[in-house]
Amino acid sequence: MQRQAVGGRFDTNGVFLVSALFLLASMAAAVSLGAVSLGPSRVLNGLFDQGDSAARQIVWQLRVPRVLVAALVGANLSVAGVLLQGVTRNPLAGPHVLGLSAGAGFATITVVVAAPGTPIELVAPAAFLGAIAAAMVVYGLAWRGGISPVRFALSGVATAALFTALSTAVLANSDLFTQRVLSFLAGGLFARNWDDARQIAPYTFALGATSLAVAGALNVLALGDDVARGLGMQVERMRLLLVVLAAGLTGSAVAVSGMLAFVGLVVPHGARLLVGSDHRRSAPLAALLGASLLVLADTLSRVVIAPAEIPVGILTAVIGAPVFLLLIRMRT
Amino acid sequence: MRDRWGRVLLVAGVLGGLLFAACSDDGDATATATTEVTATTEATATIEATAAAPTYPMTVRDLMGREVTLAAAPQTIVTTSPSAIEILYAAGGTAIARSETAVHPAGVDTLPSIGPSYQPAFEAIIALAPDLVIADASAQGHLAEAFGGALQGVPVLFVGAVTYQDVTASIRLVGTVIGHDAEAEAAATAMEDVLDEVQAATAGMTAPRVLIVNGAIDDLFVALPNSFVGDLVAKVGGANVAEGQPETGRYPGYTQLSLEAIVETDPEVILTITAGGPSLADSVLADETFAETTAVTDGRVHDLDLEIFLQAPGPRAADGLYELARLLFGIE
Repeated sequence: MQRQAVGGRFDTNGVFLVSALFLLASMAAAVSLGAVSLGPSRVLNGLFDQGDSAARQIVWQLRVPRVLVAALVGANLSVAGVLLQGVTRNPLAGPHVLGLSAGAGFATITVVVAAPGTPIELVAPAAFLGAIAAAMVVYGLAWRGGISPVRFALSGVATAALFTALSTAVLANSDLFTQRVLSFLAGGLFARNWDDARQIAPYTFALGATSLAVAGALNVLALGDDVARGLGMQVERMRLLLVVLAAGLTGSAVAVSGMLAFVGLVVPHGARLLVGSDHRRSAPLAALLGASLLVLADTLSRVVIAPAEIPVGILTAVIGAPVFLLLIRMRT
Repeated sequence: MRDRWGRVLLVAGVLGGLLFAACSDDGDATATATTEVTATTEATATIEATAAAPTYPMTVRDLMGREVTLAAAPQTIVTTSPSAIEILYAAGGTAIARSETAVHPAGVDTLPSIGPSYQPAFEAIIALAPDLVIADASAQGHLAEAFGGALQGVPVLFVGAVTYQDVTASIRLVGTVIGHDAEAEAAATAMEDVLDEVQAATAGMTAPRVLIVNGAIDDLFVALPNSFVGDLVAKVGGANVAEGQPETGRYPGYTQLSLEAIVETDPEVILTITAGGPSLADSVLADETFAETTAVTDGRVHDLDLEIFLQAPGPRAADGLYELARLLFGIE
């Protein structure tokens, strides 16, 4: 018990070094593998040599942006998970569970169905707004002169159901982009390209950096609202900021990858297990681990039954569910 | 006081949700309209190139209304859907690759696969270095941008079929593009001759009331006249009982009616399409709800060929017309 309260079971610097190297290795593997087997020299051609046009196209135009999108989405969802679990003081919280993904998904689906020609640059802001709207609904439902973490979590579950139902209602009466929207609901990175990477990157870096900067506040909140107030924190304002950050991270991830379950729920637990409950450490580590997890899952999704693909959302659930159970067993 | 605020928020949330749903309905109307426009474009797709000896570079307009330019006569052609490969072969061409489920015409099942048509592996297509890719407007229209981004420099021609005329137009278009005008013209004319023959044979006969369904007995999709199978039934002279119903549900050209509404139309013939699982015709015959319909009491419930009528709308639709003339009018 004390171990969790103070620190992880491993040396923090070592954990960060290994995690960063693991992420790099995952990305290298992801760029090297695919439906077509290229061999190391042609992969290098694809990265650095304009002359080998087929390799260039496959590696630089198809694989690299997709790997980057996977890493950014994984990092976004995981950091959002850390923020939400901290705010709600609930280990079962996550962008999916609390309805932020559903809100972002509803906004994205509505935009895509109502205005099929919407430029891609507008989809992420729409999803961002959808996630914030969902967060506000959750917040509003839970507000009674203040926010209790339990009520916040329960409101989140209800809101997730509400927005999922609304998405289904929109879908039930649409047809044109049905296949696109269905693959969106399950979550996936099929045919993600540089446009998608450019779309999510600013959110990841701006909101991610802000999140890491304010992660210390989560440590104070973890002591309880009264203590936090006693320490001079404006509890409600800080909680709102953290929820908005989580909504932005979630919304931009959902806009490019659809609704991927489990990443934002599981990764924060893994990070806490490794470096303890200090959010200033667990938040950045969750970003690294989440990025690696999604890069690896997406690589598997492309390779296992190539040239077909397994939806990556299925793989994150298949990997995430047992890992989650394992983590819970290790904590108790 | 607090409770009242909670209620106000809840009501506001629900009202907001309904408002969103209402807005999205409008959006769907727009989306449907777009579909219809596309279909019209397809039906009237014109070939801008001159007949006789093909000259390259050649610019044609494909069935999505896109301009496609070929620098030279294509030698290595990749097809990405069952319809696309059947149309190419009907026009006298050959492919170097197919989509996963394409098995017609005979012999193409040994060609390398580029993955499923709903998620083609662009890497695999690039590695084959095609000088033309023939894609499917109805199955892959929503991926047009992804095709363009992934296959830079390779012309992508969208063919496909929502109507019988779309098939003949596609065959003629592909014939022009590959320099096989005469062969394609013969194939298209043969299809038109079959249509004339069948229509002449059924002219003046009483149109039977026809219900066309696919899906499962507890989740039925009813084909409208603007679906491919609905178009064929209408051309043969069947009276579609769902005519005039709005499109709903997941698939363009289909509607979801309640079982009561379906039974109330009292179809004289029920045509079923079974996509996997037990025969839908058997299920309808055994179902209590349908027991009193004329079609069931007369034993006129028939399973249609899955590929010809649903999965691979293409040149074999001519066989489909004969089959429908036999089932609806007893013409052998």
